[in-house]
Amino acid sequence: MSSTKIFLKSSDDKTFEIDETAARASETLKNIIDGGCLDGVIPLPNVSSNILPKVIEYCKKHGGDNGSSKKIANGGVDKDKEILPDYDEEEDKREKVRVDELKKWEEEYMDFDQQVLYDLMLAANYLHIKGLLDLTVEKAASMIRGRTPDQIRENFNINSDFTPEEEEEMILIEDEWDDEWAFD
Amino acid sequence: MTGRRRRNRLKLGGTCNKGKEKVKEDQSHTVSSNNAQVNQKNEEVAEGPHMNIGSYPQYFGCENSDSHYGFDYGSDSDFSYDDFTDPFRYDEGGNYRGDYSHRAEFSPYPFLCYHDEEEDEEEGKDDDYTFMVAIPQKDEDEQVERPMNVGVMSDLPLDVVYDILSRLPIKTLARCRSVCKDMCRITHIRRFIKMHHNRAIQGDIPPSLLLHARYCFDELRSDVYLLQHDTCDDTLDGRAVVSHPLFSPPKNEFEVVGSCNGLLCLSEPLYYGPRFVCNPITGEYIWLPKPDKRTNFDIVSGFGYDEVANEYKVVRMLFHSIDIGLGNGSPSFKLEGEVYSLSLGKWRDIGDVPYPLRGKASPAFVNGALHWMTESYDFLNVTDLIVSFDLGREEFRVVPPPPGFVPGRQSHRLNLGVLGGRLCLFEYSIIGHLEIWIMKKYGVKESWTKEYVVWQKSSGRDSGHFTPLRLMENGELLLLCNSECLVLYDPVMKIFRDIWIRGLPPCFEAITHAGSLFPLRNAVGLAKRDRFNFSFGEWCPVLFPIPAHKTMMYGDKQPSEHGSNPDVEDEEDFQIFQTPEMWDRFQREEGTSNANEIIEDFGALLNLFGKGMNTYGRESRGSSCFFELRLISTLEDRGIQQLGPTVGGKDIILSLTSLSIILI
Repeated sequence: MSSTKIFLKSSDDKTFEIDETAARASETLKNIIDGGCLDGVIPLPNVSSNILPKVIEYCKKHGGDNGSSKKIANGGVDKDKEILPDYDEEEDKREKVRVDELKKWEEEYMDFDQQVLYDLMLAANYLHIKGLLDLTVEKAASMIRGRTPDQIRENFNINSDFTPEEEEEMILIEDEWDDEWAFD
Repeated sequence: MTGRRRRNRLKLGGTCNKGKEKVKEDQSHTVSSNNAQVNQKNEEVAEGPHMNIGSYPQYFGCENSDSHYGFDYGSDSDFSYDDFTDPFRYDEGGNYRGDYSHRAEFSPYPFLCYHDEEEDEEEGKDDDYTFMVAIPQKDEDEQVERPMNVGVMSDLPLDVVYDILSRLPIKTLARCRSVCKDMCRITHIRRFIKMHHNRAIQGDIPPSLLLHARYCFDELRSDVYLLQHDTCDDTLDGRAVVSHPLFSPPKNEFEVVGSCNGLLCLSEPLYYGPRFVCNPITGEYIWLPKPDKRTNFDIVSGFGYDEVANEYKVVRMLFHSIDIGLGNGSPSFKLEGEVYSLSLGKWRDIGDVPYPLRGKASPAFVNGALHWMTESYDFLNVTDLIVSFDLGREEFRVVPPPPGFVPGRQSHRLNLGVLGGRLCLFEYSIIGHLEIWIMKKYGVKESWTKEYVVWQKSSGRDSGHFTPLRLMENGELLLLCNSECLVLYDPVMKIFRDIWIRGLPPCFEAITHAGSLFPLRNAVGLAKRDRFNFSFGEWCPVLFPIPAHKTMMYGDKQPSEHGSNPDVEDEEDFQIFQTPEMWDRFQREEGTSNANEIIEDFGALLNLFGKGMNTYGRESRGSSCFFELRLISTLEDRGIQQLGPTVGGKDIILSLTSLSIILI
């Protein structure tokens, strides 16, 4: 486990330590490491000190294995895998346990409020951590899925910029579109 | 070119007359020809600066140097071009930006001017042109995309916002349009549509169901309903609602041929000959040309996508004779096949089909091939066969059946289907159960496994005919029962669960459909003459129309970096004619001649496409298409110095209303 330590500096000048293997989960950091710019601390002016530990936590879990994060992103099903007749069931089971474990971990990991979600998304985007970005984006998408426009506005703090007339028309359209949405 | 007057009259309703000059259309829009045009263009720049050249030669491509873009407008108009920058290949400083050939996948078919050459021989006659407009390949990333005002998401990079929204099922996406203007705007951005489309066809978004109801409510009509479970998890339970207004084509009755990548192919109900292809979500459709041949048998058909050639193809096979030959020697039949490629725009013979295919529409499109059941006759033995038609190679093959599978024709009924992207064989036995075979690796006989057995008795129904529709993410099977309800079957516990869905039609067929905003025009291809054999139109879409006209006002103009035009007007000149009535009013106010002057100038149309068609009209809900006319200020909003003829200091922008919904 002992690998080179890398120091990351958050936007508010706090320094965090991360293993090199873990840091490689981030494309941006990987490029910096491979580019040989490792003298001292890597400043991350876009990531604050409340988010960076969260990011590092993710990297630690996923450092080195981008494959599994991809699997998670696909809902635990690796679609590329071709199922051959001589398919190893044992291997499949182990894989399944591992995926389940990761899923559970991610569930716990993703338990935070909205502001953290956006900051995390920004950080993941900035640091190019695909798995984390997928995870956060999926969570944001799940906050929209199946909601009414009003709920979406509330969730994302969006002000409707339609004029009252336009809104009325839209409501009419929507009523026509599917009777009533109040279903439950 | 210079000094030549070319007057093109623009008529409402899709035709225009032209002057004496012969206008040619370009039929090749390859990247290379674009390059050639850029070069050609630059050469001509050297010759004479006062030329009428649009910013987007590839849209109006015409290799004939006499007429660059299939048409031209009078150079006596008081404007000229001093900028020949192709925004695709050159940045604002005129530097080559590299190969943008990947954009070709959007099929940027140009404004086409179709000209009947026979008519052209009569000199002096006002020749009619049918024209067709395709989406200009505008660099929409630059043009439309700007930071969104979407609440707390505003700070996120656009890519991330797109990523979030592209994961939404089509119904939720449709609702997002009424959240705020910027959200609505996103659903019109081509890059976003592409992202969403890709997710939808790759199955990342759970597909919705299209319910096709026939002959219900004492009416001879067919309707298509969209059923989309809308919840976060992949269950239909209790939440699904059949969306109310349906996709209602002008022709009231139809049958469904197949759904592929968000497009739906429909057939006429008598002989099941395929007649339309449509995107039921946007309501866009095209008619396929009527067949010349007639038959008294059901037409065997199919609809699919050839990934290699990026083409959508409709297959139609007509029986001319069937003699199954039982008892008196070998059977005989004659089945002629034809393929309609959407990009080619015409029916093409593929010769005789070697198998007497059974059924009307192909029930399974898997692995780039359509599949049908058929029989092979060996003396008196009849064996069921699975026959595939590869859309790329256009050849028929026999798909190996499950090993040891020799179904007796009397005791079983077979059908094909797709579950989880794999070919399935449904075997209905007389004792009332359904066995589902799945071919786990396409083409490999050994990979067939009998995955599910559905016992009708355990459903609690006296009689049940189950059609498997979908494999749910939790492993349950979604089945259509007796064409009247949907049930979920848990293969582990072997129990059925009824799904209660509001507004379900009394009798319907169901088909899975990857709902997408994919513009049908992108699938419809090149500038072949034959494409004019069919017409575009819009039906009432499954989802409510995109209220784009409200949101695409496009007010944030940026000053042109290419110099300014002296006739710059303020934004207040921005005017939209949404309806023919408004246009009529405008005509009255401005004087008919003046208004006609405006609309007649074909160059105005060019200008429109040069601007990337940033106009969105309300869909016209009818087949009649009228023009939407916009006056906008000459201030070029995206740094494109492409000024049209100025009439009263205003630029004219025209757009076809019927195209509006997909113009990005």
